[in-house]
Amino acid sequence: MARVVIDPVTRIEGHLRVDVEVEGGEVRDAWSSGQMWRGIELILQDRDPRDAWLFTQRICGVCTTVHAIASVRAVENALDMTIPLNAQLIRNLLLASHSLHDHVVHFYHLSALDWVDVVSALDADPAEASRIAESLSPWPRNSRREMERVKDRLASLISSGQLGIFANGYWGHPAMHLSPEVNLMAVSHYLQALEYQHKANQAVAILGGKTPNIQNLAVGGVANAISLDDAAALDMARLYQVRDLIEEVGTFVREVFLPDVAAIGGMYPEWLGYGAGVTNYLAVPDMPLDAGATEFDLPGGTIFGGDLSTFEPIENFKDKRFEESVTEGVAHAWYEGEETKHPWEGETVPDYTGFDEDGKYTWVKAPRFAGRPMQVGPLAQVLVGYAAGHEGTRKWLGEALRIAESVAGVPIPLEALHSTLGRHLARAVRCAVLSELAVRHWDLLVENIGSGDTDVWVEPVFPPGEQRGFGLHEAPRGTLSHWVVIRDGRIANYQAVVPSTWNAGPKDEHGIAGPYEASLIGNPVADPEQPLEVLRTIHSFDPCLACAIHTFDGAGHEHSMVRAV
Amino acid sequence: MTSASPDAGLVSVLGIGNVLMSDDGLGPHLVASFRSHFDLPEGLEVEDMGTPGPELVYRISGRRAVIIIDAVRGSGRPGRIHRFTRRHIISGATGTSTSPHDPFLREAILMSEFAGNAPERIILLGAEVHKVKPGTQLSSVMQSALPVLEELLRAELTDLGVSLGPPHRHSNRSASTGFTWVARLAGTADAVSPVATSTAAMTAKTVGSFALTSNRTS
Repeated sequence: MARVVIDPVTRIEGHLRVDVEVEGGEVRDAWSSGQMWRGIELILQDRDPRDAWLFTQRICGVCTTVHAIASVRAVENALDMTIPLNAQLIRNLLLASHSLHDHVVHFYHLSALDWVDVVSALDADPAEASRIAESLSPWPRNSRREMERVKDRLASLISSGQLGIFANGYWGHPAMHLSPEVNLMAVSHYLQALEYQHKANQAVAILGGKTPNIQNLAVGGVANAISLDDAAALDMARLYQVRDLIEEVGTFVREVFLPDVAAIGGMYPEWLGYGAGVTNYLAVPDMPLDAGATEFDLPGGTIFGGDLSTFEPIENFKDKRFEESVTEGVAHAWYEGEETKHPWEGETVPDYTGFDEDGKYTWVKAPRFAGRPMQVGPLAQVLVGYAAGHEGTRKWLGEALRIAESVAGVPIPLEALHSTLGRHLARAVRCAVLSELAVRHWDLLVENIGSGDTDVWVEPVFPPGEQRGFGLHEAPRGTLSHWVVIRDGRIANYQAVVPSTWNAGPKDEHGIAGPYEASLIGNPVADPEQPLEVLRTIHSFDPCLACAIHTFDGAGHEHSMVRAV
Repeated sequence: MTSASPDAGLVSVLGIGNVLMSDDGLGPHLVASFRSHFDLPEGLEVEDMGTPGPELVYRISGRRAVIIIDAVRGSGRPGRIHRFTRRHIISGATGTSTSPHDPFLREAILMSEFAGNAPERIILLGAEVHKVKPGTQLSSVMQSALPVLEELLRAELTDLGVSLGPPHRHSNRSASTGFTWVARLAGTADAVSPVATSTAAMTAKTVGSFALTSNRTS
């Protein structure tokens, strides 16, 4: 039996450590451990609830927007507010643009190199790479010249004796088996993706005033002054800038990102058989279509045991079943006590006792929905959308599976989505859905403004006494909920139950594993010294333990460690 | 392949760090303080970047020079000032290159180099941390490092041919409130101009205990 410790798997978002026990070339047991205390909720105690979003968006450096949106929604929920339609639509455009940025970055810059062997691309025939790329998509930037340029750039990088950004990859690992041409195509799209992720972020900056850390939110709406002919306000010129950006990014997503993931998926069909783990899924509705948030463009709901017929919707931001079903447990987390509590009653009292695989071993709590672990993220979003009959989800899932099947040469059933690669496919599908919805919500916004409605904000009023609220947002990594208790106009308790808590959480008081842990059981590991396969499965969740911290290490000691013991 | 950047010639000062983790927030605190003291001339941007991911690539690409302000973990002498160049910044092991959300500075430099768009010059200025735990204030040793760093930053900028006017008279708000980063983004009465990327116009209304006044519309 070999023990493999990967620490950290992530750094900026709070040091994820993964321990696996490997026997006979596969993982027998796994522990997911958040190595940093998430005590940021305590900073919010006694503050003005209208300011909470300014703090919560600093929880994480990558997902600032999502924590801002969930926070204002939580306070609005506590006050039972209805906000103006323009505010809903501007928030929708922000969250869609942010998601487009985040998904493109995750695939190309944070996880593609689990599958793409950069060094192998040096052996590629650029003409053949161009032919393959053009067979997958009408994208205009797949020419032979483009591929030649990228290959030259790669060759000069490698001939300099340093791999630069590509140092320390698992090049030549036996689990890598794309052709040199597909690897070259992927590297060329890696570079192009750098441009498009930035364009998506520019849309966020125009609407939000700045990114990272948007400035335009307010409890009660948004702070964008709308005036179609005032250049100092959100006018048509700025709105058209946003339109151009989301259209450009959308084309990249539909013509490059989705075909790439589907094609690469079709070339690694074995990875449709690993990594299912927890097949209970949770997603909440988002992109409200009316001021009162009664209709949504993205459906929410639950699925249990991988059986789509168990689908039950989560209707809206006030959904009682959601409100009553969420708990967080600390049986295996470094907090005082053993109790499982509802977030409104939640406590954050640290009690670090060291890594004990049978006892407490992480800073991440174990969230449960009606007592069950849930997988959240794009796969949950897509399966919930599929089960709900969501048109855009069905269309783009069909397209992704069609490409993957044609490349793999075998049919790929829906059940294959419960897998490591299924999570990547689902992320591309969700991103394509969002790319169309971004344009639709731009149309809705301009139409509503055109009708003469320029309202963006209503003033929140805090009655004496206690109010409780929760704010929902279906973020790129999955269901995010902020829970607030307000007493006499000040914050009495605040808890954020974040997507990576759902996915990276530890075993619960009954010994039931969380999604990361469960997904690793049965994973192959060819070489414990090079546990690429473990990283593939963990990265497919897009791990991000929301607690950003970043200190430059002057001594150069920020190594990650892979230890096989 | 990325095309020539419209930001060629620009000098960027980017403060990195988490303002909710005490001394880790040095970069944003220094940015807020610096912006309250100086008017920014054409060709200079000074930005609070929080704890950025790959977006950082575009915030350094094509610049004439980039000065990163960051908290430094080092030899155990809190408050000690450090200056690093590109060679130092990228010399540490990058770890498994497959780690999502690593501190992205090293990666951003290497990515911009691969894309053929690296800044001509990159410098990191920082001070060693005393405490990194949930909290919104810098420790006193970091507070005292702020004016020193600000002076060093000014000297670096002069060296790059960026001349600043004399500092404004008003005091450094970080000492009094500890929330310069909020005050700046919420735009208090003596607020500096909004960030370079800001195009959304803010309405003048109070949205919290901080006044969110109009930066651009007035």
